[in-house]
Amino acid sequence: MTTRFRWRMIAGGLIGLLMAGFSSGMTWAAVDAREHDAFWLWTGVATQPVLDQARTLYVLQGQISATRRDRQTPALIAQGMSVTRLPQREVWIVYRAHSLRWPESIYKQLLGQVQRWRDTGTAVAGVQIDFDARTLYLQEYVVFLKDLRQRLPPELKLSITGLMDWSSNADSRAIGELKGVVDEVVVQTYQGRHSIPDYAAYLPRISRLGLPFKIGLVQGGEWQAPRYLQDSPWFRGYVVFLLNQK
Amino acid sequence: MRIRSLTPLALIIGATMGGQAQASSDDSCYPNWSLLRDSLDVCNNLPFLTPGNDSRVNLRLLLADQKALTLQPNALTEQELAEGYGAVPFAAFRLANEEIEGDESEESGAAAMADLLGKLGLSRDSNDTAGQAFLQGEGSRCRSNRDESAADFIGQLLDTAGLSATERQSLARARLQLLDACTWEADKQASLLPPDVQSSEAKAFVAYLRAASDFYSGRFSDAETGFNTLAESTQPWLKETALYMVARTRLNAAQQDAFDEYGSLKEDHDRTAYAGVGQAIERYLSAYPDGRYSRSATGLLRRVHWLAGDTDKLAADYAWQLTEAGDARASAPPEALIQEADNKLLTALTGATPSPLMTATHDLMIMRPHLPNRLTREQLDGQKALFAAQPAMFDYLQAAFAFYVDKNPAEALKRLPNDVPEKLDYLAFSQQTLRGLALEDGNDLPAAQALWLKLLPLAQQPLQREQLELALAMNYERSGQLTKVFASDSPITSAQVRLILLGKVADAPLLRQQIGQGISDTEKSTAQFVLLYKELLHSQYAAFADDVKALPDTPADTKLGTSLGYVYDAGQTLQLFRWNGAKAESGYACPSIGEIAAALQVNAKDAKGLNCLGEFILRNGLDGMPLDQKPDAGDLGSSEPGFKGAVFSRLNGYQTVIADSKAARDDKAYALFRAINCYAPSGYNSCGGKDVAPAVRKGWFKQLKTSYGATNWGKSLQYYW
Repeated sequence: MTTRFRWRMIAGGLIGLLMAGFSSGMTWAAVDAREHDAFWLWTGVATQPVLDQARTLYVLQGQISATRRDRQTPALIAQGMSVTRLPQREVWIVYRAHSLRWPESIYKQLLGQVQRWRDTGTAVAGVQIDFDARTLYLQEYVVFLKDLRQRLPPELKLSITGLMDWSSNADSRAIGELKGVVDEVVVQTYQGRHSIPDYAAYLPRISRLGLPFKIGLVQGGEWQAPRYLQDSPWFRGYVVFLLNQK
Repeated sequence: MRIRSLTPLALIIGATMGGQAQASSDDSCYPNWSLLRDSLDVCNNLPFLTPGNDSRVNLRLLLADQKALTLQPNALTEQELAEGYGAVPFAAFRLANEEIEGDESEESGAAAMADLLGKLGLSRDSNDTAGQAFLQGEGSRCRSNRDESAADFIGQLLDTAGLSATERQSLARARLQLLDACTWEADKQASLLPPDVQSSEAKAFVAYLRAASDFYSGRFSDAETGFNTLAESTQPWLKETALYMVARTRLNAAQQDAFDEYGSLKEDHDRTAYAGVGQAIERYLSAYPDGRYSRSATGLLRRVHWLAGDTDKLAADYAWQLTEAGDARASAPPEALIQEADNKLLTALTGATPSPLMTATHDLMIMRPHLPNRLTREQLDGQKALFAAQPAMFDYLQAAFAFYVDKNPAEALKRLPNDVPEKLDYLAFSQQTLRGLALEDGNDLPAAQALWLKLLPLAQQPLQREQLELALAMNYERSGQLTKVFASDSPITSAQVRLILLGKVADAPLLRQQIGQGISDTEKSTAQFVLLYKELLHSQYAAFADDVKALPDTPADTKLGTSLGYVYDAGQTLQLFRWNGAKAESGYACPSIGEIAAALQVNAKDAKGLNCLGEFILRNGLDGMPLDQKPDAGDLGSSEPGFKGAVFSRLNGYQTVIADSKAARDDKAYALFRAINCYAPSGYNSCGGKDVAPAVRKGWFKQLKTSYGATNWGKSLQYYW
């Protein structure tokens, strides 16, 4: 595993430098996890000292996808760390969905696992759904999220990861319907290891969606905050995707 | 052009983590058309043993040769097709065709339980159990506290002669109650166990329940003591199960402090206790080699070896599980074992192991560049004895080392067999592939070409033929024999390979030929599109005027997407070349693209013509068109393009108009307006051509606002970037 990370880092780093050098006068800063306090913790990522300073954690716990045996009915497969008591102030339980057609058993297992997290004394803020909602499926996604919101205990929040191209291409009506359903969108500004050069063009539209949003960064990636970001009433900070550093 | 879709979080997994979340293939990947790669790219693998492959792919190739598994690439999904994939190269997860299976024991356990309870005259309020609350793949010792194991216990109650009916009932009831949870304080535990049993058999079952509940509660010392008291039990199930549970209890005790709170194995955890765990497991396995828990016990042994850091034994475990155990004895399906071997062994190894299979896979991994512990010649030479029974494998590793690490193709050739065998398993195919690549690297393109051709009819295993087609196509391309790819008897039928060559390097005569002779409608339309597009963008207006005549007045609206290099739903149709300019979105009217080309044919600096060619590009989303992107050196389609000279850029066109003292007022104002907008809103130039400094853009803005302030464009533009 370590060798893979290493290579991606080198490749991503070079591309980033090239972009920084030739494309603009902006200085791009590498994302230093030590300057942040909210992180995604994904499967296979080893413990890092920055976790000690984390106030918010997004912890991957499962993946929902179809099995070979039954292409129609997806199953929930566990991912990531064991259920345990975590000290952070705010812990989000993250599920990666490849399918939105969940049988009842998945809701039961998912809510059961979230409850087990709460039973440990961990401060569970809510559930985050990570779904690759291309514009095509956006309407279906909104319907799904409304239903999920109904099923969640009212004291838990609902977060989703968002795509940059939502704000440019997506059906704005569908996005509008997310208001009051999801509590936040965490928008990804990177592709592989480097930030998307056009993010500066996308973000203004995102900040107009009328939804609280955070910006997802990748550890070691590049990022330069656009000036208007801090002025956006909807901006709620950053979440850094941790990678193995070796 | 749409930017490649951004998959939230998933992309990171797909690209860097490789394994753990690969049950589905909808994480983004893109093909990279080359056979030469020494660094890992999980999105791009080849069906021969190479350091550039994901280790799981190399392991599968080796296992296929041993007949331990069948290589069955999944059919290309709609998404992979939309990402531009053909058969080869392929993403690692295309070979992962067994997914983690659902848990069937859940239903069968409940059914067995209902049956048994009926016999005892008992019923239950709920079918929920603490063990079944977990997710598939979630780790907890509590998972075994479920119907399946409880039914085993209750079944034994029915089969044990010395128990009274009351004792059976109260023991069964106690076991059912224990299904509700996994942790009980001592007093709660005492209240759940039947207090009033008389027979020695019943007392033994109570002792078992006490030990089991101690085990689930994490009181491992009490649990082990309890299970040990049953070692001489006359009830055979209790005796066997207790012996197995002693091993499980020791393992759980030993690993208690092995992980930090985030689930990572601590580097400095105490490894001394694992010897005792291993002994307990071996004791069970020698007493019950085909016992009811021997499969599980063998699996636990793997965990012990992992926790103890005993990579030699762990490597032997995986080799046995994957190649010898067979379905009946293997702890898990091959897919899960391959994944686990990658996570737990291959990525952690630092040197050779006693397993040739695992060592060969690992050797290939550590031939990759930029590694702190890259394989050395001495280390590899030191493995000779290990590969004594597989000299061909050892020779292949030596050849790969010469080629990828030493960059010495001549040395690689010396270590590869000259003769092509009749049957190509993946090792033989790898030998011949590497030979061809070494020949090409040594600039002997004709010899490599002859080899690729010779191998083609022998390629019978999955994906071999498609790799050879790619190799041969690249050879033809680099040998200046591109037309052979498209000859009527060409063996190269891979659609993507042909389309990439048409889009990137074909010249006009070849494109004209393929408009008529393409092997599919897509190829014919693509050839026509590429021809017309490149003539326009390379300022060959006369040729465009000629060739566009073959296009119907209303061309088909069939979208050409990946065949032009687009991904996902982006694309163009041949109707592009009937663009009539009528919309005039910014109030600047243009004639049809045919008339624009005609005007530029007369005068290459025609201001209206240049602005309107820019308008054609802008309005049809042709900025950054994939056909204009040159592949990386060494990739398919990276040789000298068939169309020479610079590609027209909008920015350059506007600059020509701005500098043209004879240009009409509106033309000049519009060129300024558009040139400034090339940098909107991010400050990046989206119009192609050479970047200009901000000061120049400022000058344009000033000129537009002063000299042309009265025009609509002068009025409407408020900023420059």
